[in-house]
Amino acid sequence: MSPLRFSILCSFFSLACGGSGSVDDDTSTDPGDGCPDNEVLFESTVWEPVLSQQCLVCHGGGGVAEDSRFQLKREGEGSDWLRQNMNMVETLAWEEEDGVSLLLLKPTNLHSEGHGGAEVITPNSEAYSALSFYTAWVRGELDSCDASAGDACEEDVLGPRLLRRLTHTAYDNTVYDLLGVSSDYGVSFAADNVVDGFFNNAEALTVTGLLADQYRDAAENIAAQAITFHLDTLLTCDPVEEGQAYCAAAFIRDLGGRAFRRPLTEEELSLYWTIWDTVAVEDGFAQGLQWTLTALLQSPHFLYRMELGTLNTEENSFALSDWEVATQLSYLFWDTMPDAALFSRAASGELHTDEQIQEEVLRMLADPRANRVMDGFVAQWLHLDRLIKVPKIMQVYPDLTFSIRGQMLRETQKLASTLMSNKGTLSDLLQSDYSYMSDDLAMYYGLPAGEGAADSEGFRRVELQGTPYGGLLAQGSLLTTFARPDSSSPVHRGVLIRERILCQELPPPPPNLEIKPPEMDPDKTTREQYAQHSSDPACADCHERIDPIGFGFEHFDGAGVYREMDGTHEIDDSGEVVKAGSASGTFEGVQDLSQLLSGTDEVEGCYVKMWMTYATGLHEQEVTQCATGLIQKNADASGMALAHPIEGLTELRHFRQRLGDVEESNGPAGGGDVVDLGRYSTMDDSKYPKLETEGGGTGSEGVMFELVEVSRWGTGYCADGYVTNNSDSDVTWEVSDTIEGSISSIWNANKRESGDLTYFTGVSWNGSLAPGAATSFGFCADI
Amino acid sequence: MSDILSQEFMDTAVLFFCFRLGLSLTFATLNMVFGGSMSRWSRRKFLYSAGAAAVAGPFFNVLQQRAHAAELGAAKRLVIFFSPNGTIPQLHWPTGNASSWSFGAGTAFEPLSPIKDDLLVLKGLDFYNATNHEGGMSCMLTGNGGASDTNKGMSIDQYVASTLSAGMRFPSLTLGAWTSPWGGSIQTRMSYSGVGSFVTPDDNPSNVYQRMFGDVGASEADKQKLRERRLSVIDLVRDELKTLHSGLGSAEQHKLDIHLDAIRDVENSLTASSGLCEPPSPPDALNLADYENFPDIVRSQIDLGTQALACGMTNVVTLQMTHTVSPVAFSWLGVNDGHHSLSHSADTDASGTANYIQCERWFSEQFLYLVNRLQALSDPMTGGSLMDDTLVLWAQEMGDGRLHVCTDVPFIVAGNAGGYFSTGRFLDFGGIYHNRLLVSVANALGFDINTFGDPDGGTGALEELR
Repeated sequence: MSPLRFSILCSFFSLACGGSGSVDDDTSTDPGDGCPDNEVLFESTVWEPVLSQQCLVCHGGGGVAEDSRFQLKREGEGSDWLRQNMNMVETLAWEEEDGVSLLLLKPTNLHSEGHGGAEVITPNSEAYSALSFYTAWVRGELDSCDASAGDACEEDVLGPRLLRRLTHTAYDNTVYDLLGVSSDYGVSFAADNVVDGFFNNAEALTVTGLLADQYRDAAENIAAQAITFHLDTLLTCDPVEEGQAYCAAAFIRDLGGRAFRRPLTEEELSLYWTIWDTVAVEDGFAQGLQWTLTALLQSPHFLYRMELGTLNTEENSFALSDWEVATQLSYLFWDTMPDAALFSRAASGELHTDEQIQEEVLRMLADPRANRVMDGFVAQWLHLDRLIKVPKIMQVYPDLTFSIRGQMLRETQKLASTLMSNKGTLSDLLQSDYSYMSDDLAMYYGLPAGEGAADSEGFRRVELQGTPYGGLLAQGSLLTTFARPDSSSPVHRGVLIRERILCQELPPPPPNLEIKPPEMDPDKTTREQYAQHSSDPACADCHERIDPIGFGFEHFDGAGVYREMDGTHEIDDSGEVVKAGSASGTFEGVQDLSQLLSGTDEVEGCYVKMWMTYATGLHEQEVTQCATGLIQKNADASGMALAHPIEGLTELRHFRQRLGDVEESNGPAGGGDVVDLGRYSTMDDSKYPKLETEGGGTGSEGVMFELVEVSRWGTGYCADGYVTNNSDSDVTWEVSDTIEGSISSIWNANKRESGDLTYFTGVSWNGSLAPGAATSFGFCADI
Repeated sequence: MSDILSQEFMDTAVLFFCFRLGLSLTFATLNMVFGGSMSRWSRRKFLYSAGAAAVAGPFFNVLQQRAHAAELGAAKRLVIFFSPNGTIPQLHWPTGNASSWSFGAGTAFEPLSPIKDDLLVLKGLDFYNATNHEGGMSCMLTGNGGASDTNKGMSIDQYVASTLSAGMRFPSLTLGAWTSPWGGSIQTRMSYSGVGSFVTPDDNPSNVYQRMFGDVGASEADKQKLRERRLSVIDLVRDELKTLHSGLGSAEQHKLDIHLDAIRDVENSLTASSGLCEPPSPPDALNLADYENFPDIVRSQIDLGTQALACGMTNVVTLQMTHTVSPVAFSWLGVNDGHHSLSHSADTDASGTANYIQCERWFSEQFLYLVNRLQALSDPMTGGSLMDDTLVLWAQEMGDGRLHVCTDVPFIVAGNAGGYFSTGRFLDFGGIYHNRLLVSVANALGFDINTFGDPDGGTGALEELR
């Protein structure tokens, strides 16, 4: 840039500063409008949080963009480095293309000539908001110098109306609660798109061709299983006594209403009844229901949970229906469809005031199913969902079996969930001196097994005082996920703290910078191998934020186990957190790091921010930023309760109302009165095949028996057997069938073989079935 | 579709089935069945237009479009193979000039020597306006095209799929191995159905097998009944989606548009030919969470993808081996560090570079296996090798991985695409954008276009490939 051009821009800036009343050559003086001086404002709003982190690495001396016009000085590079940087940035703020400042166009890669480093800041991000604020401030377009997002939303803002496709786990939970059918179809569907680590982003969850086919296949199988084995519990009337047409309509009204999480409209009932009618004429009552259910399970009203509402023209917003609020609550806290109590409150119109909602929040948080919300959150927040698949070398870590990996994840989930239900705080989680482990897992860590009673998964509380373990950051799940296949990794662990605990996104390495991991040298400690990161200035800008944190974890190997030595070397686990506000400081080891981070605004704000992303399904939108600020501000003085962010969310207007263009219309019409079935009760049933009383399977009188293959591989398969007592009296059951191959394991039943047949009888607790009762057993066989 | 055509189609299908079983049917017999001599195109039309009537329209248009463009190729099938994390240049590239060249001993592509004469190894291709892992992954098959460009943001495989596979069971089969441990994102997806819309690869061979052969064994009457019921469910769901669509804002409407497209794909696959071959035995059920099963998953996916081509179930297959930044450790080769970590080995790091190249040679072996299988399988229409009319492209997302650059990105074409390309050559383009390679691929498959992706990435095909 020519000097002439620079001076012209400077004069523009002076005019602008005059306009905003903040020009002052003496930067140490408060200009008198309550605003900090320019350099302080520049440093706090854009330099420290954005430019020093995202831009300096390329635009600093020696960086790959050092030949571009935009040059930044490093901290302390000359006495005037901050002011020089401010002038440079102000220059850029004034330049524009099509009315938009280059300070916004360049880092977002939206400039017509692009940006050498591609997109380093996303529109809508906090970094972008900071740059927008600063641009407007420089250009004199603001009356206030207050850039704080929290203060900008004393009246909390509303988010968009949404269709939120069920996550794969919510699909399985919902199928079970709706039909009594255990489903692992959802978790085997094609992987969903992930946004900022979370698998429930409303925009990213769509139905692609592959998924639509998987929904179809799952719906057909689940419907067959439900109608075959659970029909008695699903029917609300007797088709022989009350008529097939009528009974099918009642089935659709009742089950359909639960599947759609709101009453069906008369038209919807009629459409689904037509499917039943078409099939039932050919293949009978039950087949008709099976295909009706197959359709319900592929309906958008089942697959998406609606947050659409009804237009309130006075407030120019959409008010969510009581049914939609019930659905939000159940999926937020329990990851499944509403229970009978929620449906009942919605039906009586008692689920839209703050008090009504808070009553339900208390009830739901006290329910054991509330563990699901924390289990899901902690796995995605800390990327622990990757643990099961993270590559590890068997020869280096022979004890790290898949079972141990799974137990490590459960350990962290149980610790967080139990603390949440005991009203624990984030600091309690970071510094807990106990954990929950199976005896195997305790042995894996080299710890004595816990002494109390084991839970249903075999986990006990293990006291950790006096051991190197303790606290969230020293959990095996996290230490194993964030490490290399055959060794620890200060970089992976440091990045985790920066990005997920402090919410500071790190820029990708600039192009053309040769990225070399340390060469493995047995004569050096891991710490020494990473020394180049701090000696090479091109690396140091980022790695000074990363490695000194990661070194603090060096007493834990790449599979989460404490080690006294790094090979033959002593371990130095001292570290430092820099450029993290009140969370900055030096520390010795993980426990000390946990203490340093606990209770800081940075860490608690990040925790709330992560929750808002997870709980709303929205990423870095005005509503989540605003909610984060408000909820952090409202936290109890005694600390950030683990449940505070979700409780806080349910108190916001967004939980009951949505923004919308008035051009848009109301959500689906359902949710009114329950449809009258009168017209179905008088229909002639004679066109349908006559119903026969079921029962008489292969086995005891009145017992129905069905075998379903659940998996198969080259040399074997597994199957489930379903037994239902359709007689009027108690039955001690025995069933039989021809079984392929030889049974290698069996559970919940005993077997005997005679001729070509294998006979199954129940075990102590399921050998006798009351009228109408059902049970199941399973086995695997070699072929 | 008329009932008569349907019946004829069934007969044809049965004949081809017998043919594939090796019964002594000759082409003369086939031609009699078809009623005299037939051009290649009409045979194809006859077979594949037997699907839903709706697909006939666009298909005929494509025929016309092909007919008047003499410079276009007539390859029928596209297979794209992907492996990640870039090159160590001196250990990847062959040496020599276009006609006299060789793979150096111990280098990454050396395992391809047995098919050297069938290859075009392409050097000096850069990505337009893209750097680093993510930029490379999204640009690789799209050329960074937007909604207003030729490809409308689609990747090359999706751009050609609906036409090449018109009337077939699957527009494309997007298969993968270990693509999704981190979920779907710009890092883990390479196929796009539109701007920013990923096509999800199927990482589970057992699931792929079920999709391909799940209905085999049922009687024709039962199949027909099942098809009708499935279609009636689809009709109902489509009506619901459309009703819901009308009152929403544009973002949510877009979501339902994607769903409507998906429903149409399912509908097409229900109404299309179920394929022309006997199902092979199913792949072994594998623990997909155990990366040590990676080689078996890769092998199964290649087997299933090539089988789908041989069965006439689709004409477009993608095989995505993990994803950019993949941490998979090739422990079966005795390599203990992750693939991405190793990709950053400096030239001075003898052990790191040796390990990385060992992994890269393993990918070459998989590519060789893929090509060999296509050579061995028969084209259900011509009886010749599948490879005769198939264009196979090995694509990668970066050049030198240590520098995170998308310059000098390696591409390898296998097969002459029905005589359209002159193979057996090593070509260095010296730094032009790879958009023109994507144009060449489209041209070879009969698509009359001049640009692919962002038009600033270049106009016209790479004539040097002919």
